[in-house]
Amino acid sequence: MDNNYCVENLISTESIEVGFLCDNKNDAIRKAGELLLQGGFVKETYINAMIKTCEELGPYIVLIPGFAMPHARSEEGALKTGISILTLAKPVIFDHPDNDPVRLLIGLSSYDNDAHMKLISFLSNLIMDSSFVDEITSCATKDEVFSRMLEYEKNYRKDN
Amino acid sequence: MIDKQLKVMLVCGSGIASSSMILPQCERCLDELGYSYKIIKGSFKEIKDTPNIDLVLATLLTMPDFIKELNIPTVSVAKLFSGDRENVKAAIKKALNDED
Repeated sequence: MDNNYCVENLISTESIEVGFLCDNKNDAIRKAGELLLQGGFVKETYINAMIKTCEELGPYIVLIPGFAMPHARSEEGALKTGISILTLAKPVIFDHPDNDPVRLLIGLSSYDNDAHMKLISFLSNLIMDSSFVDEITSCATKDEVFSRMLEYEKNYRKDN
Repeated sequence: MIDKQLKVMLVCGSGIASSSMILPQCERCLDELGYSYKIIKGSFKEIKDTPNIDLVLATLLTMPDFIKELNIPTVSVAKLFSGDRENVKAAIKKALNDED
């Protein structure tokens, strides 16, 4: 693990929101995209690309129960690698046969290959933790989410 | 029984996100099935441009028609995210017509 990668470079509190209220998946994805835009990770075009990808390819982005990872291809407007984190006030249906409804979204922007692979490895680890979705959705503020993510990162570094 | 080395293509929508996340689990499945293999990653649009693929693993839940039309054995590995390897391993064996 080299020191260029750390959660602080990949998540900014500008890209976190808790308790967002919406009633459909496109609004949830759009919000995750807007948070990426706010954090400087993507251009505006990326937001619609995230929605389009989910529409065209189906709800495969709902990887585990309650959790979706909307994203698009880098060339659709990624500026730098990073994520947005969005918890929903009310769970939303994505039409996934097993993992609905969604209460946590992590929007993903991939730009640099090295940082991206490290981020992906970190995220894979997170979603294998069965309490991950509950932990993040129980955070009351974005600062709480951010410090929880720093804790996850500390534990991840210990094992990797 | 499959003797030859399988050329396996692992795809997702972007080519770099969910496919990268699930690659270790896919390798684990193929190892447990006792196959010799080589995995290449890509987006599902690159399948038709890649020659001699024996098996497509996709993080998608259902395959778009143009993938079905290519007539390559294709298996969804979406369930691997929840740790369900048995389901996916059975689907791979079936897709490859691998009888015990």
